Amino acid sequence: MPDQYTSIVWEIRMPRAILGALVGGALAISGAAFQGIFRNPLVSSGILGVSSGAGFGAALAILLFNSTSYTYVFAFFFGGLAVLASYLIGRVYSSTTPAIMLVLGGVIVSSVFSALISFAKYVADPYNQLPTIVYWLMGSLATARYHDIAVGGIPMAVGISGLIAIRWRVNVLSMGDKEARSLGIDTVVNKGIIIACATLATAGAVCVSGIIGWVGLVMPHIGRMLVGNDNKVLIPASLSLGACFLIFVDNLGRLITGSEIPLGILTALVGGPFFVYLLKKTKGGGW
Amino acid sequence: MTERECNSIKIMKKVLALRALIFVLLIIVSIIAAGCSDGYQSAFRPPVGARKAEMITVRDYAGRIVEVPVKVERIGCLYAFCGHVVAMLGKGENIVAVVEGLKRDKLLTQMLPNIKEAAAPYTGGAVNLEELIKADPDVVFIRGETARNKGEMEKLAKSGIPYLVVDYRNIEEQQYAIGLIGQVIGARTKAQRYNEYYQRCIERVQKDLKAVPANKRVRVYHSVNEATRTDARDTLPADWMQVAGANNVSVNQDLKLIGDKYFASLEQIILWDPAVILVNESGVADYILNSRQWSSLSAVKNRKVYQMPNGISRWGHPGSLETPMAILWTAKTLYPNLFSGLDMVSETKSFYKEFYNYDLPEELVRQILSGKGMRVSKESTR
Repeated sequence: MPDQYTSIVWEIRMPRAILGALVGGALAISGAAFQGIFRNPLVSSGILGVSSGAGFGAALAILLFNSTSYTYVFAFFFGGLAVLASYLIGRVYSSTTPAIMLVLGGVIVSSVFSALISFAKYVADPYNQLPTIVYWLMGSLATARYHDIAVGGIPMAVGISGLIAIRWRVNVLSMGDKEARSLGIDTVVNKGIIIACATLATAGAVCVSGIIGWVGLVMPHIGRMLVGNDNKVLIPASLSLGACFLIFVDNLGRLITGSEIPLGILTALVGGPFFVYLLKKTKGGGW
Repeated sequence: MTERECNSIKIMKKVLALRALIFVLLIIVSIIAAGCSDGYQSAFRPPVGARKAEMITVRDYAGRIVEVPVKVERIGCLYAFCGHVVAMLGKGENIVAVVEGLKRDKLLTQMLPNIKEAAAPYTGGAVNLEELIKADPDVVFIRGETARNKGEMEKLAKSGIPYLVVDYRNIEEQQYAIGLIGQVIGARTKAQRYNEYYQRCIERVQKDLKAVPANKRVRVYHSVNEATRTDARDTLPADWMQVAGANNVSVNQDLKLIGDKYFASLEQIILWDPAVILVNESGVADYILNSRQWSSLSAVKNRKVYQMPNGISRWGHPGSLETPMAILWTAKTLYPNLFSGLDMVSETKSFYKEFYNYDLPEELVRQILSGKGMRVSKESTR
């Protein structure tokens, strides 16, 4: 029997915990960075379409190859493509990529890719492909292997380190384009770098674990209540909050029933009340 | 008003009249064209009752009492299992509509090339009514899941084609389904013969298994198509595996249901630690044997991971008609000493000869028993 326990802990729970920490951290840190540069508390890591793009990529890979072996590559590629499209739409209006145009571009691209996901579901073989697609989109860490950490971990680690390194510029950018420029910051380049890092991190997360909502939106807010508005502190705080939160929720999902509740359901169910509790306790804190 | 203005008004009126005429003509032509095309012609056919006087009444899985014509010549099988039954009962040539999955069966399409040409009016979980009407079946078989969708039922009712819900949760219900299909398509005797063979197989293994007490039965994990997909209670595999002497570890456990499929988590499987793993999809056995995550299982350490045979369908699959064969094979695999007299090669040969009238060459029998390469991959049929 001890042999089985060792195997469960090291081969199943360990990669799951590592992946959960990475994914939660990546989603939360990109959410914090986006909320900073877009100066909008309602944006999350998926605002520029990376989640729906990746979702479509995964669905397409399942449709084309009738297996899940290429979902990584496709999800990653289409996630990046979606963000690039949002960015280019943002530039149509003005080459300085104003925040509001980027958000608008993200909304457009997201809805186009959501429609494409629905279409992919519609044409999928209902007995083999459709459940696979739906399952993938629900998001799960249940199948985590060390291999997934190697595949998804690299873009996530790169994106996360990039955001941590550049975090003080998020403070400057969050004052608005004009003010940032007057302080000698090239807003276009810096925004581009931050978007690229956040996209790397989110796409890496989405391509190994599917679409996990809520973490990228709410963790930065919880961080803000705890440590205040300064992105120099807030960004690393979001990273660790997201990591802890996802490990916690994943454990909960695994323990409540033997059959495991999908992550997306629990992140919202657990995160929501916790958010309200913190709001009451800190009266908004550093907002 | 000048003369010129007057003239131009006249011309305009003429042009307008001409346009109106062309428009009306176009509408008439398109109505006629639509009425004449194949797809719509049969929609105007008289109700089935008026077309054929002789009807019989049957009761389907959903408990509906349905009138079907005595003489059924065109059959729609919107459930792969029904296609296998119809083919087995010797009416495979009468199949005019199928589900896409049936076209991928190597053995079945080899025996019945017409299946490749049959309509496939069932995509995205919904019946395509126009395609179905175009195929003009006398009766349609649908699965329980389709029947649970009210919209689909209403749609089918509108078509005027009698439809029967065919499904099952255990051996008894599967036998009833086979009997029902036999009765409807005019192959009652053969269906009876098949069910008798089915029953004989059950009795045969049950007799010898009496020697094995319940607590000595081999603990088995059954992987269905995917490594972690398995059987829940109240399913055909739960029933037949119990008959074959297996103590199915996943039955009565808390499983994750996605669509109509049940999944176990790897942690559950490791804790169940089955002595034997039966796998019905080729490739999965290798995956399980070589995966680090599965390596702590006793079945993996003792190399007791077996690929199940794969004939017209995967033997023992929830939707498989080769259940009696799966029972024999599993009993022999789990208790080789008890069933040393059971020759699976000759048993397989006589099964397909008797029920499918198909003389299997020795080589194909071995291929079926090895479970490898019997299904055409999805890409090659597109």
